[in-house]
Amino acid sequence: MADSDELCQSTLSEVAGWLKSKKVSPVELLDAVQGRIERLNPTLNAFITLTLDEAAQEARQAESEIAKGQYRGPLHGVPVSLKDLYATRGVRTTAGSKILADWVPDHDSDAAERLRHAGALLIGKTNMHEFALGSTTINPHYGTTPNPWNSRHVSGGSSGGSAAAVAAGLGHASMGSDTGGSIRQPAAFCGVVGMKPTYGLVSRHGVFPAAWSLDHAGPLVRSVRDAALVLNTVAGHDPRDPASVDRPPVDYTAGLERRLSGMRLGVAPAYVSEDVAPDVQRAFWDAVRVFERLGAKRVDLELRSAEYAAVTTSTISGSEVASTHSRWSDTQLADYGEDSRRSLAIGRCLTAGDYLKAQRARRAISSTVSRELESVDAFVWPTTARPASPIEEGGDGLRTRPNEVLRAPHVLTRLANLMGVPAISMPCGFTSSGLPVGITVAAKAHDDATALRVAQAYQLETEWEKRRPVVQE
Amino acid sequence: MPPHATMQANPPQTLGVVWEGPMDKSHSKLTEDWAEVARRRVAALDADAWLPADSAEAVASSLTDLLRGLHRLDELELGDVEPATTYRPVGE
Repeated sequence: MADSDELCQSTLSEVAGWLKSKKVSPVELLDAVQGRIERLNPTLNAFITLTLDEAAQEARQAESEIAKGQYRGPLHGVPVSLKDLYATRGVRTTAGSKILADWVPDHDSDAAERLRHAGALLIGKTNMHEFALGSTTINPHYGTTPNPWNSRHVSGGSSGGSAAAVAAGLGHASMGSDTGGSIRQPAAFCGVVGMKPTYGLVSRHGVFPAAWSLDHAGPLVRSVRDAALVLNTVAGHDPRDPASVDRPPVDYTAGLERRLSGMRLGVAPAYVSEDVAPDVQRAFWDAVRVFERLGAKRVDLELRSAEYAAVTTSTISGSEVASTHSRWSDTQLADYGEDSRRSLAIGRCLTAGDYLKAQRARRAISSTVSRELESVDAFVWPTTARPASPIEEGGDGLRTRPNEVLRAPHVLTRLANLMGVPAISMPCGFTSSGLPVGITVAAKAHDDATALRVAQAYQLETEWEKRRPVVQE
Repeated sequence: MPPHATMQANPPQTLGVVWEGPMDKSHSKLTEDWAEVARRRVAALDADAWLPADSAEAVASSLTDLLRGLHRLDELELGDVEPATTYRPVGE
């Protein structure tokens, strides 16, 4: 059987098999993860709150149930964390802020409910960019979560704690949130898999909002199959979320192994522009060649109207964020970090006319791009233009020139939020300095299964997702 | 009436200029106009209470980019396009 570190760094799918067959018990698994958290979290600062005592009780219950043949499914007995904007009953939920530093919800978010019901062990609440209003997880109240691959670089964000925890083996999955790339960018920076499902597929009930019409909830994990397993658990209709869609349940693991022969794969070369780092370009085009070798037919897309996606999402998110925070931004301004105050200030400078113009553009862009995407089954691009930036630069590889009309990868990353289509980022290589590079696979709305299938084909053919960082203690 | 409302009612006359291409006088004027609009909007926030001076400048700079980009959305020929509704996947 695997040793303690191997247990921690295995995929969710692997440990699920061991738990089901009783080769490993939930208590043993949690002990291993707890030991690793105690060793590495002082360096990574991936958690704002740990709930290991409660998780230990859940582990004993899971062990008893599995022993009696009451196995609930692949998440039963698996250590999982939640970004600290998911409400958790009886456990403080800060959203990475000083304002909510002492908030202890009396209810669970929908995702927390579903994970508990599936028998997952909730080990803690992960660090994040304050109120999800940025993408570095340099947090003025709870400290910075560095990148597990190189502690001088950012982990990304806003779900940086979740990405770092999963990359470092501090739990086998984590739930993040994504308004403009906040699951996929940190996943790319930390060398893990991050999925933003179709808008409305996973309930945001109990998830502190950033921008309602762009917010998505989704998993960060170590393999594509793991993403499918978590999605099977957390997807589903929830009338408490006005965006929630009511559709028949899908088994996202079914068909994962189907071949790509004949599949039409969209690529937009103009968006892999000179702004994209050479290492990222090389990794991306190598990945495209892998897809072609697997039988996918490359289809070049122009996507002219997509170049307006970044400014459109910036306007929509800025306006909605300003509205979300109006309850505090007049009276508790000093309690926000400077980064958040800047974001709120920009939002408050926008007019209703600006917001509506952006929502009109959203419809126009989505309509045009949707027509173009009819010629493909899936669509790929580099998740970010550059790898994780140095912390000392406060840098951000996703939102370079965030408000300009241009063709660059981050524009497509944000386009997925604008259109609500599923998008999954996975590792596709490393830079010469050893930082991970991510590629995104997107598909049409409600065709999350195709995005997963295409990503899975790539992962089965390559070894990138098997690499693990060596975190300095 | 706050400055941004004035802006909505009376957009700068240079806004019809196509922005791509070489920097010329009209392009510089256009950039300058949006920067001024951004500065006025930030000033209306009573930014001293919000932000240190250098942050206020950074906000104005980001807002300038955003306003310039927002204007360029006209290139999409929005015509009678209605706003996207929230709470539905776009295109559904």
